[in-house]
Amino acid sequence: MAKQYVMVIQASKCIGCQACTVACKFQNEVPEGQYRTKSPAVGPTGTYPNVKLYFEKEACQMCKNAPCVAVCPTKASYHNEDGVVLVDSNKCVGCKYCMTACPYDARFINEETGAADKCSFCYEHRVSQGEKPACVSTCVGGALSFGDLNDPNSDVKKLLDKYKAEVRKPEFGTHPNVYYIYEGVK
Amino acid sequence: MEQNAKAELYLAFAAIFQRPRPEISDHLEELIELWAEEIPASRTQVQVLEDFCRKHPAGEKRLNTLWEHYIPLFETGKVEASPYASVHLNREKQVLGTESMAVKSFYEKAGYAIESNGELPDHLAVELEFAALLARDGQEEYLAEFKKVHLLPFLSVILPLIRNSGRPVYAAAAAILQDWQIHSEERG
Amino acid sequence: MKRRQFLKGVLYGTGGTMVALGGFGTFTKLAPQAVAAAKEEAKTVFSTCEMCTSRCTVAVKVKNDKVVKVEGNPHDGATAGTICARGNAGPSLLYDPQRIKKPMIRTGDRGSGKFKEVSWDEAYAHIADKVKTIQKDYGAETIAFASRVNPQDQFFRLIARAIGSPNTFSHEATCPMSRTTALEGTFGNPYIGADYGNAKYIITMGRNFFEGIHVPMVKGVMKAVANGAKLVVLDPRFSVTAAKGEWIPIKGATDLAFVMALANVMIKENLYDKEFLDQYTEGFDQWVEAVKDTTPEWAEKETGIPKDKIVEIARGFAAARPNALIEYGWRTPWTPNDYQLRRAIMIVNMMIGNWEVPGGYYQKKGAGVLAAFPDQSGYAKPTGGGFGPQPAAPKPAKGRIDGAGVKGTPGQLIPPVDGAVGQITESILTGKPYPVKGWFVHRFNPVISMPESDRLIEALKKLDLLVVCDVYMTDAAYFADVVLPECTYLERYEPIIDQSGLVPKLQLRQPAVPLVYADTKPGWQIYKELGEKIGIGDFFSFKDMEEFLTRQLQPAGLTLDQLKEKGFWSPAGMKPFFMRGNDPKAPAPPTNAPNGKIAIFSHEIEEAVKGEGIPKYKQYPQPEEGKFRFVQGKVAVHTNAGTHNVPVLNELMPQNSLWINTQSAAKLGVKDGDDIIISSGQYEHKGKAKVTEGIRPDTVFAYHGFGRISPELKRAYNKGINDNKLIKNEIGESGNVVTSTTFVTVRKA
Repeated sequence: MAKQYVMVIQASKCIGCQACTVACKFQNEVPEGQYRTKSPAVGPTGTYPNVKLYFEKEACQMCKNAPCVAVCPTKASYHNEDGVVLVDSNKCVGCKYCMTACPYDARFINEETGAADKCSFCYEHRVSQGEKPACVSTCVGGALSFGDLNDPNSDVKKLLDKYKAEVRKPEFGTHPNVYYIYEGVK
Repeated sequence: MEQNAKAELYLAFAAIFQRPRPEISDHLEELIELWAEEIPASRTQVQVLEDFCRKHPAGEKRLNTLWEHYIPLFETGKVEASPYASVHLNREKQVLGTESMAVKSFYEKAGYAIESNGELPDHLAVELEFAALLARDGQEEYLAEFKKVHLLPFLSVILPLIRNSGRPVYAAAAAILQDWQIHSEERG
Repeated sequence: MKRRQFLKGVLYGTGGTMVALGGFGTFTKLAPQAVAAAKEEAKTVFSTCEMCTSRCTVAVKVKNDKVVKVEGNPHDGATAGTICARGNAGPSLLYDPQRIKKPMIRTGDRGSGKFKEVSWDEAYAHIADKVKTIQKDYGAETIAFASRVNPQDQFFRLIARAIGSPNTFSHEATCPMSRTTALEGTFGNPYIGADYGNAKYIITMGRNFFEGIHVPMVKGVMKAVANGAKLVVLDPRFSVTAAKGEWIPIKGATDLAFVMALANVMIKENLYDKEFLDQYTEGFDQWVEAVKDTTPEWAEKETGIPKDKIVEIARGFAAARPNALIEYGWRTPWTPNDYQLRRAIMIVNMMIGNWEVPGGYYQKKGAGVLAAFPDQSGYAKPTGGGFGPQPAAPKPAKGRIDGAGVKGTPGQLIPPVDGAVGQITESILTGKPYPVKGWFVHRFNPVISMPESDRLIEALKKLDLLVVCDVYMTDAAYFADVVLPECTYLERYEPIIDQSGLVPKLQLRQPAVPLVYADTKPGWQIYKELGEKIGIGDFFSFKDMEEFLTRQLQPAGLTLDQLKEKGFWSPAGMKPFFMRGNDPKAPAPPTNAPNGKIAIFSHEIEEAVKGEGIPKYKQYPQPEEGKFRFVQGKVAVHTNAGTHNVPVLNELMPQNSLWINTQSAAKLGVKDGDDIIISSGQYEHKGKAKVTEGIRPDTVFAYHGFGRISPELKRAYNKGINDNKLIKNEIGESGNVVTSTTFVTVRKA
């Protein structure tokens, strides 16, 4: 059976330590000054002393209905067999259509390769080898979970059954495979 | 240009861009003389260098002046122009990047090994010294390939940085090397 | 004229000193068979991180002798295979072109930044000469040694011992030393751990778990919170930790009042474990007396926390007993008598009997501790020393400059192993009790880590000898006479690292790759070779670190290969051991506790300073209108004064800003992002304002370690605010620096 890889982010457990940010850079050899993922703070919001703060992990949302794939003139952006959105840098001509189309601002032109770049769920080097993505493996707070939603025993399935989860910008109809659980932080 | 002169030129630049040491500092005039003779476009820079030599006669004080500029320019802290090719040519902007490995392989291909406990393979002075050896031994094909694939891409990035640093001796030497290796190439 | 004789000589190898191949001797001719196709060699080396001092286990991924990634060690349950941003950034430090690569000797005035590179031999000879001159002219005791605590201290400090200087210091006075004083005074030793993961109620006072990251502790606290534990965070600033719990913006420097009020409520409402106190402690009666008037009403006035809230916390904390804890703190030196706050915290902890139970405090279980428990003693045997026979060290001619450890004097409160490092500045400048003329600094950056940077620099300029060993041209190195380039933790062995917690745990730091810069060296080798040059080589009685480690491990029945396997060793099959885990009345003596009891009244502290045997409240001034209390703290992506120039981490956070409350900023006409001047009266610092609702209106805050002074730290130089420029060099009651009693004004620049 095909897999449906998803990432679930529990904001209550994210401490904004940026371990994921740095792990991603080394795993994916992302050039200086560029990032596939970052976790900026949202807040503090509210009025002293009643304030709140949480962190929002930003990266490709791995849409099932991906605008980037749809607009790509060279088919460099594509869904692989496990539903992961990837970029074939050899086919990419750097036209930036995908960057314009992405509602999540998740893509950039890699300064080194000249191709569009973004989170790949570490598919090639880790996930296809049975490992978790680099960010998930190093998450100090334990906020990140990754797995196959079609597997009833996966952490991600259990989390999504247990908690109310959201996707970002549902109004775009992109059906992301990255879910956010905000319980306890908003 | 005759083979010997070319080899000496590479070696002279390798001499100036390695860590200062007494025998090089004390023979600075000789390097300048070579440049003046072999690279006609270097006239202005040669005068700057000759001025430096007049103000800083050979000896410990000259050597310390070279150190004073060599360290922030190449070595620690500010590192205005890191002497390692990887830092400029590879994504990570760090030492021992893929360019460093590639240069080391090239040395081996040409029949040379670099001491594993010495300087990193892609140090500016090391690459120039290698070019000097190739030129000296008439290994023209290797030299042409080395220049094209490794040396010129590196020189075209680092020499402007050294020039722009305005550091005595080094900025002028970089300008002369630029004249010889890059501008003259461009002029064909 | 012999034209170009020099170049020709070099080129053709006739220059005498050059090898036959010619050139500068960089190249050798390669035998044809040595040309082999590069093959991809990937391996994992298990080691110990040193991007901060928490020493997490790591798995270093190496390809073709190059570190490509550092990950958490998947074998280690304490980190669950995770590592923080700094740990992940290891390769960025390792391959940084800005690292120092050769020994350097200063050629210009101190602070001119003029250096030349020299051979190790020249560097050692230069230092040895100066040491001998100072020894002869002033005495060996006038040479001080200070390092950030690390496993190689035993080599660094051996130089001091062998030449006869008693003046060895750690950085701890700037960090948790007042806690050490409190733990020693209460438990007889400082090796006390907390079991966060099983706690049901955690009160933290300024300890910012989620920004001052210690991975196993983050895991513990996060586990507790995920299991529904209450997390109460007292902090004048809204930290990330505060965001994960209930934030109580306590008035600065009043924490002791809060703790004493908790005790007052718990006694009044009988919410404490009398049986525990009777069996395991002594002196509780004096504590009852000490807190009889520290009511919630009184504490409300002191702390600004409503009295009902204090009562609510006291009840909630006590209701969760004994699986509850008040955090004892980390970077602690807030006030001159900070150690009494730490003492009071531990006393209130003991009031709920949270000793040696899950979710409470415990004696760290090294093999030595287990020896007293027949059913545990079989799990581990103690390690030994790594040195061979050593000569007798000379007796120092004078006592320490800080009087540390002298019984019957206030100096008794200062742990001599750490010392009052701030005293070095004072002794250099005032000559009291006697002058300091030389200073060795290892892996420590006093210019940024110690208070009153300007005064410290003034002191550095007066020294006859300053030697700094580090990986970067740090702010201290910039003023040094001799700079010694150490290789990084990814390139060296170190002695065994004992990280025992609820089970024994021995960790290894081992090289993952050969030296990146061939002329850098590990600290142990630097001090061994320097020792030989000074003429005290006999003290360094070991060949290399493999031999040293083997000697250490042998008595424990372990081998170096065993340690290399996973990078650490813990006894197989041993469960976390709480002395009172099964039987609440089981013997549970803290190591070296006087009479085997936990000292609520401390005779030792009373002996040091009469009247201080039981904590008592001291009221410190509060800022008047228009002034702010200046507090500082840690940020997740940087370590103290250490990592700000590491490329990837610098990229994430190149500078700090001054947090100021929205209302307070409005009064000053300061907007978010404005350039401002912060003034302590004596010192001024420029910076940027971060206007936020997340701070008390009477307090301003900056992350520590920014605003670097060494122009050689290219990325971090002059970026942001150096907090220690503004803080006065005051020496607290237990030798601590004092970080949180400085008041500042803020104005638009």
